[in-house]
Amino acid sequence: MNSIGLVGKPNSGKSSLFNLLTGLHQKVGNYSGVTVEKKEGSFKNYQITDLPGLNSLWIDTQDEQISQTAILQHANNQQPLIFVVNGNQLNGGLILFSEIADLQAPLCLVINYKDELEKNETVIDTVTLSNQLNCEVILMNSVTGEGLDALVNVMENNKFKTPNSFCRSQYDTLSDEAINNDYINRLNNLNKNIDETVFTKINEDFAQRQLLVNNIITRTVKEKTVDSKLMLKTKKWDKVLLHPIWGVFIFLAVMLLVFQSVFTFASIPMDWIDAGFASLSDWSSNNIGIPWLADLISNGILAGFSGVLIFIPQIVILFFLLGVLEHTGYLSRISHLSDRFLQKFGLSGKSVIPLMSSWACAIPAIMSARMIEDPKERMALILASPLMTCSARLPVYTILIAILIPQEGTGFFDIRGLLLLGLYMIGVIATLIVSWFIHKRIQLKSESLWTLEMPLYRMPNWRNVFYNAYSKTKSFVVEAGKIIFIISILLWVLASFSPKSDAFIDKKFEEYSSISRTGKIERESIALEYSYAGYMGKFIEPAIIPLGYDWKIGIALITSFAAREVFVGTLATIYSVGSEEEKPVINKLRTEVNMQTGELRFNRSTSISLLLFYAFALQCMSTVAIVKKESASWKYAALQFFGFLALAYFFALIGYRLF
Amino acid sequence: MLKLKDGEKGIITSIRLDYNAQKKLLTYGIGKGSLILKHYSPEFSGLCNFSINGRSVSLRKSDAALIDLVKFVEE
Repeated sequence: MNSIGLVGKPNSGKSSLFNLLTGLHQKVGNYSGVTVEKKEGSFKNYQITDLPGLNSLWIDTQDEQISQTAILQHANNQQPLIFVVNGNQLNGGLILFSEIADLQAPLCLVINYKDELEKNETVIDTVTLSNQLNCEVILMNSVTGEGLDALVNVMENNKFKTPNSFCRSQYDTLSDEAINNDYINRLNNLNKNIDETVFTKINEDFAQRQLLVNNIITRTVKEKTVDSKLMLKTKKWDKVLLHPIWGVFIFLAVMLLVFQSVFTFASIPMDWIDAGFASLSDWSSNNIGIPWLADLISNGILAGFSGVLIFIPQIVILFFLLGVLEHTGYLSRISHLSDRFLQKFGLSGKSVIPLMSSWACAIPAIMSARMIEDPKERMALILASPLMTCSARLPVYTILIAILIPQEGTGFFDIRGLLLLGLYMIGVIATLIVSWFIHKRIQLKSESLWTLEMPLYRMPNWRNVFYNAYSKTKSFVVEAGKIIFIISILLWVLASFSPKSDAFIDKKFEEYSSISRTGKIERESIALEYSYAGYMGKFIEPAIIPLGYDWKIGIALITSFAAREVFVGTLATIYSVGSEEEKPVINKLRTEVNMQTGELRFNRSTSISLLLFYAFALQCMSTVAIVKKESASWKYAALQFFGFLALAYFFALIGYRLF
Repeated sequence: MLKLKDGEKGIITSIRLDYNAQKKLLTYGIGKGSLILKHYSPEFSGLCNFSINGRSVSLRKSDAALIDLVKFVEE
């Protein structure tokens, strides 16, 4: 199969073209750095590789390194490259084209955004341009597919040509491959330590290329106006959306709308998923003949999967709406508005979207941190963002707040709502402080210059917006699902098996039954107490007594180690309420008595302590796994987990002692 | 660069940033002799936005202050 690479500057439309060719639905956005690793797909008998955008072969980021290596391989193996350039930014694009042309790879030039060029009354003489460059030039609209036939013709008839070189004459005595390897090695070696001499060389190289490209553009491009119509429209919108007062109000209103939509529209499908899993669980309990298998499926696997899949509606809606903001170009404006504030905490405007995504779930938020160039900022974001209040904390907060404040408020203001808002604020403040601390302490090289490219405002391409939401959600389910599946089985084993015999548990059950209520759940409660999980709860009890917890809460802490939302379900089982309905659970927990002190088990101190523990603890194995993947280090994942655990313990202790 | 008013053009005469930063700017087409058009640098924001070769780029004001230029007046 012939291999063809798609290369170009960021935000030139490579991924749209890749989707058009392969139907693989690569993520596309009106924002630089959408492709963060190379993606492969097939078109007819060609293997198409979508490479991350790069500004120059003088690379700056790891993503650009991926592209640089792939371009060199294509050049040395004489495999063709399709160079995609944004028609509105032909000048800068052709300078990069000239660098790749000097590697003598077979090329074809695709000038994208044909529709916008027509709107701006910009005319490009593609015949003359093709002659000047010595390669095929195609005008295209990669969203609608206009111009695709011409590109397919180039591919099928192998019309890729080795273009004229720009600045290569000094190497003429060497072979092509030797020139290419030497050239890239020189670039990379020089790039490591740029001093005045090296920079002068780079500057001369760029100046020479700029001169050649300017000559070509003068001969081939006719622009009606200096500022394009789209640029003028963008400027008008920017005056409103970046206004010191209105801009901030609009930003807050947009964010309020996004998060209200996430919670409002997601509630109904979430109820459906919940009910669906409950029915499936009942069915498997009643219809699978082997008791242990039925129990594993309903209380282990299905319970674990429902914990993941229930968040799908929120994630789909969040990523759909963020996709709309991204495609329109508003995302960059949000970065612009928030940069100054976030700088104080070692972050930048580019962190604002991953941070806000963390309110739904930290996993996609951590993944989207890839678009941040500064390694220090990226690591601070990855390590601090799970402190933002994700949706999995909500069930825990809801039940603990309901225990703490039994009376519903009257009127618009409800003290319980204010407490929930306070917990969200704790999450935000903790994230910023931890981020500041990590930025100060972490030993990584920081980028010396921060740049933000502001794309033109465009109508979103709805097909791509839907596919973006789909691919992000799929990624979440696959990544988190694998871990949850394993952990669910492990927890089920720990909670279902005991080092003691059945006869011992039956005896204990009879003892308890004589002094307490009877019923199936009581038997389960006793079994849980003497299970491996129960022993683990008792094992950690000395450590958690200072926080006001007993071994039963200890079991809930252990079982919610994989996913914090499991806490509520575990408490329901431990306190043998026999129902997952909110009211009976709350009533039982409210009246549970501490046998040693005679006080209520979930009194004010313990409830506040638990709220603070869950505000800080990283009780989410999926997040740990994603942090390990994105930081490429178990060290950071372990530091984060134990660091958050220490913070959780500290604040839970303070909370218990003060209240 | 910060002395330019919104909508004014300027030609870069020197850049007093470190060489790594200057190299990064070059990849955007920003170097000595480049013609830029300033769009905006709002008071509340720490950023300054301008366009070059059809690309709209924002820099932090602290970095933009280290880029010297002369005002370009079209005849």
